[in-house]
Amino acid sequence: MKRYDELWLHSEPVEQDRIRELLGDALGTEPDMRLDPDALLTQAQRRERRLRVASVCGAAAAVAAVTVGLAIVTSSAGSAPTQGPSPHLVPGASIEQEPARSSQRNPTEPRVSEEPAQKEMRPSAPTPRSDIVPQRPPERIEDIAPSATNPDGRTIPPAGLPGPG
Amino acid sequence: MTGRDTEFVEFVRTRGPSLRRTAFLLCGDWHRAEDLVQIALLKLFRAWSRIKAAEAVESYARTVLVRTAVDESRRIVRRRERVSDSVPEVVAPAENPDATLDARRVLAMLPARQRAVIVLRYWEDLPIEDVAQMLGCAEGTVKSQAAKGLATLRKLLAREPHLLAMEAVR
Repeated sequence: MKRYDELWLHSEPVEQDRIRELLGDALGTEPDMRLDPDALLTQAQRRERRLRVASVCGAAAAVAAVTVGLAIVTSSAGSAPTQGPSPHLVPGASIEQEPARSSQRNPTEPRVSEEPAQKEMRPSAPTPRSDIVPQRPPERIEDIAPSATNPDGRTIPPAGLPGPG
Repeated sequence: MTGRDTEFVEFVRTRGPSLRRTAFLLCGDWHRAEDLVQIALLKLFRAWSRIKAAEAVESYARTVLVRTAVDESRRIVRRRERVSDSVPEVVAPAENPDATLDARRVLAMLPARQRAVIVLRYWEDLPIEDVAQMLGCAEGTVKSQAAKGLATLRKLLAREPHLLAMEAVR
């Protein structure tokens, strides 16, 4: 400690060789080096090989991803008119919509095609109802104003009509 | 073995001990110093062809070593223990063990960046511009860090010796 006290107590700039001496003292006696150059070379080669494989795989994966993405974009662009409007488009925009082929239809959507409307206008056969009794139109006046019968058995004609005699 | 492999092995044999000494001054632990050297050499091998052409192998290795040491010192969680199947080697006693311990304690109390500047500037004898390039900072920063490091060393060694005593107890 005293040597360093003398070294650092003075205000003049510390000389380079004295600092070097301090660092040399810090080193002390070196232990044997356990680093084997051949083993280190093997490890370095293995590491380099692994990194190379990883980089090649990464590049191949990137190329494959770009190819698949391009194929998807191209195919969707080619088949876009037959598949109807894109979901990103605003409904009601100036796009001519084809008549729906599917049987599943949203009931809230307005009907665009003409064919279902014609089907609704077609007259349908009358449906027989059990609670209504069909009536024949009256043919004789007696059917409209039935004649009354006297207690003696003679028929009284309706008012306004001549009697049977 | 290719030419690159031969050159790499030769470099590890000749320059490995020197790099380990620098790493020890940066981190203060021989085992960690060897780990740092190994990490630096593995990175060096990947870039060997490029830096060999630029004649910058030594500089590149030292730069990687210093930056790895500074990065490791910033980690909050650091490996303190190592599992090993071999008995650690016995370090021969130094000529002046007290001086060695004192110097190590003083260095350990320096911040990592100041310590790196002191080691590179005064142990490796590197000019300020090289130190700045290695640490990735401006030359003015190197000068200020060196001045602060020296001031800290003076303070620790001369004016506040009780800090060293506390560190020794710890």
